Formats: sequence, C-alpha cells, structure tokens
Amino acid sequence: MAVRQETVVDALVVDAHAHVFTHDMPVVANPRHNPKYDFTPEQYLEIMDAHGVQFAVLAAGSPWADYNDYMIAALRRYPRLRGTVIVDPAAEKYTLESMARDGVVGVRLSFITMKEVPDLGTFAWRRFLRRLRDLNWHVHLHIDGPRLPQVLPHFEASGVKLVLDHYGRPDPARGIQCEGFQAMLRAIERGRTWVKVSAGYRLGEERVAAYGRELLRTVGADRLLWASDCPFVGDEPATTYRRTMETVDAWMPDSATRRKVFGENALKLYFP
Amino acid sequence: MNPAASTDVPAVDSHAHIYTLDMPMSGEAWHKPPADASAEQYLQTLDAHGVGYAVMAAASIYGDYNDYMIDAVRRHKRLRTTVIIEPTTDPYILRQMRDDGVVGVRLQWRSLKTTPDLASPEYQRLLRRVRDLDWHVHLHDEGARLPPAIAHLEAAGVKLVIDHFGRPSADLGTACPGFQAVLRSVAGGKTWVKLSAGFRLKSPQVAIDCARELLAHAGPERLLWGSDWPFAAFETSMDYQAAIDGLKAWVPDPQARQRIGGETAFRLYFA
Repeated sequence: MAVRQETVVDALVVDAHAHVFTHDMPVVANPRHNPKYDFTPEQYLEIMDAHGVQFAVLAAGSPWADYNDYMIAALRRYPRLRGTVIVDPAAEKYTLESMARDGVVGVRLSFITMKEVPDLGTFAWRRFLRRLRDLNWHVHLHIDGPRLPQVLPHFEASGVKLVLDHYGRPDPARGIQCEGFQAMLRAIERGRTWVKVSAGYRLGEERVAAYGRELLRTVGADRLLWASDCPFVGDEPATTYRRTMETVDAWMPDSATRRKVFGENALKLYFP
Repeated sequence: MNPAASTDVPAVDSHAHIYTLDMPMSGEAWHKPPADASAEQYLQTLDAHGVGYAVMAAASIYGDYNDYMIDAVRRHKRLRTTVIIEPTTDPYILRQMRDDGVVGVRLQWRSLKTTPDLASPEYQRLLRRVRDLDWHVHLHDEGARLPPAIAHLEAAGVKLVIDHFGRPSADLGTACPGFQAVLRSVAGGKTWVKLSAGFRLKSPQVAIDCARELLAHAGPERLLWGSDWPFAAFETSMDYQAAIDGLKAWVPDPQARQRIGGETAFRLYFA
C-alpha cells in the first residue's frame, strides 16, 4: 500500500474522470489530442493510492472513439473502477448489458468536437436514450456551454441521468451569466443532472472558483463531482494530480460539503 | 370454478401487445395508445380469464425498441415474444434473444407504404438465420402484397405465421387473392394463421366465413387464436371476454377449439 503523502482530502475520495490509454491504440482522423505515451490503469491506480483516492471512473476519450476495449479490460480487472463508453446510438440492448456487467455506467457524448450536434429527436436517439435509462446509466456529456440549452430538453425528456463535464464549460466571456451555465443550474435543480468540477487547468483556476461558488450558492453540493481529468492530456507537465484537488478544495466552505463533492456524491451515482 | 367452462378457454393467447406510454415511439407510428398496457396488467388479464400462456407481438409503433418485451419474457416464462429487427442484426444477438424467449421476427408491413425486398441478400441471410434458430416469421400484411411475400418466405424454408385471418379485403372477403394465397400456404405444412382481431375485419360474418375456409383447408393443426389485447384503436369497444367468445363463433367444434387454443400454439411457440 502506497503511503498517502499527497492526501488533500481526508475522507472517502472518488475521482469522477480520468483516462487510460496506450500510445499504440487506434486514433480517429484529426483527433482532439493524440498522446504519444502510455497511461496504464496500473500507473493510474498508483496515483490514486498516493493521493488517498479509493474509487474512480474512467472516461472514454474522443481520440479513440468507440475503441473502448482497453478501458473495459481495465474495468474487468479492477472493481475500484467504473467507466463511460463511446458507442453508436444503434448499440443493441444486449451489447450495452454486457458492458454494464463489466462495469460500464454511462455513455460519453463528446459533442464539443462536433460542428453540428446530432438531432436528438430522431427515433434512433430517443431509443438510445431510453436504453440508457433502462440500464440506470447516465449520459456523460462534453459540450461547450453555449450549445447546452439546445440539447438539454432532449436529455431531460428522455428521463436519463446527465453528467456534464468541466463546470458545463460556460463561455469564458460571460461566465456564470452564460445561458448554458444558467440552463445547467435549472437542470440540476430538477434533480437528474450532475456536473463535474474539473479541468480547472484548462478553464482557468480563478474562473472555475467563481463557477464553483456560484454552483454551491444556487444548487448546493449534492450534484457536484470532483474529477482530476488525469493525466491532463495536453497539459501534462504543468498540472499535478494534487493541484486538481487543491483547486476545488480552495472553495469548499466546510467538511460536509468537501465530503460530498470529493466522494459521497460520486459513490452514489457511479457505484450504486 | 366450473370445469366445463374452464376447458373451453384457450390455453395460449398467441397475439397481444405490451407497452408503456413513455416508451420511444417511432416517427411513423400509426396509433397513439391512450394508456399503458403493461406486462403486469396483461398477466392479470390472462389470470382473470384462466389463460395460461401468451405470445407477445412486436408493435410497429415502437420500432425495434423490443427491450420492454424482452425484459418481460425474461421475467415470465409463460410468455414468449416476436421482435422487429433490422435484417443485419448480428447472429449472436439473435441467439441471446432466443435464449431469453424470443420465438420469431415480425414483419409488420401493413402500415408500410413500401415493403422491404425479401430477395435482397440481407433478408435472405436473415431468413436463413431465422430458420437456423427454428424461429418463425410473423407476417402482418394484406391484399395483393401477401402472395409474393408468402412465396419468398416459403422458398426460404422458414415457418410462417400470418396475422389476423390474412386480413381479407373488405369487398372481396374470402375471394381476396391474399386470403386465397394464405389458404394455399397453410396446406403446405409450414404456415400457420391466427384467428384473431376479427373486430378489424369488415363484419363478424367475414371472420366466420374465413375461419370456415381455413378449417377446411388446414384443420386445427395450422390455426392459432390471439386476443390482440389491448385492442389498439378499439380500446373502448373490445374486451378480453369478447375476444375469447370470438373463437367460439369462428370455430363451433369444441375439440377443434381446444387444439387451436392449446396444442397447436404450444407446439409452435413453447416447444
């Protein structure tokens, strides 16, 4: 057992978002990122142990599209891990159920990389979202805040649980006034939407502290999930795992809030 | 319980639908149901009438969202179901469906403007897979489109179940070419016809005439009874007892009725 030299939060901690991959995995054309190194589940588990993190959720990464295979193999080996996958909306009930048995808990939709978001009102999409709901999965949505209002009604109508990446990625010029951020707050209040307080290193630490405080003030702590986004693809040397915890810890008003945001909420959502 | 009455109730209901209103509806849905028809409600209906077993029919209004029916057949071994699928569905998926209680593929064509080409490589392959699984094709169509479809399905060697008397046309009745093709097919030994949904035909007399012809050509070994619960688009004018009574009107001989509602259906769907 590794010594917890780097413990920031002295409680149950769940990392809601990290990636594992090897450099030789198949990459899509024009990937958003294309890391030239390996980040294995074993390397990641070492980092978790060193920081007192008990459980984690692996996120499908857009560079590898629906090559979820490496991640699923990790979920099979390590019951401490769960994962979200990228799949075609036509995915069969049986395929999704097999994934669920292996530890998959949701589907990642990486709309941020798309010029046009798909029409979620089609039968194919409504069927897909219903299947996710039937499985008690969640949609793990990565989208730029300004486009969130156009897709949110479809997810809410389907009854599926929704987890938004990275504070909902509001337009930095408008911040908490961004319509997307405001729409996210209202969705959280309705009870089936969660948001990850993560990727401060991408969005700016000053900014995300303001987003975080606004979230706490308006919707409380029950739907907030801390996540590292490890291994910080594109920003590897500058960001440390400890720093991702401190960035969020900085705006925690008390230990009860800290326990929820760093672990309890995620445990209920991902490890029911 | 009156034993004489209880033996005159079909043991197997070969045609019913289950759904909930919050299921995803396909863009082409021809009917919007007024209320849930859940698996639990249906089982209660079966129990209330002493019907032991049932086969659910995939409904076109939910496209290939078969998931609710599959969950029901997993839970209740007295139920089987047919499914609506893409012809390219992976054979491993089909096998899992079979293990769960799926017994056939429904070609729900009556509501389609144009029908798929059964001679295409995709459908030829699907039909072979259906045959390999010992499934049946569950065909719902009518009129002039029936004869060529039946010919393709017979050539493919699959078992064929035709819905609702073969749906003779309102003006021609038993002289309808579709119905005549159905009569020829049942004589061939791999085709079954459902005596069901008589309320969808032009008049009660058409159903009686069709049943008489079918009995004469095929006998009770090739006929099935189905309630068509919850009577889509006839929700207020039909009820389950009326569906049971329909069989008595169509098949006056109690022994033939017993075969149709029991052994024939049990062999086809639950063997």
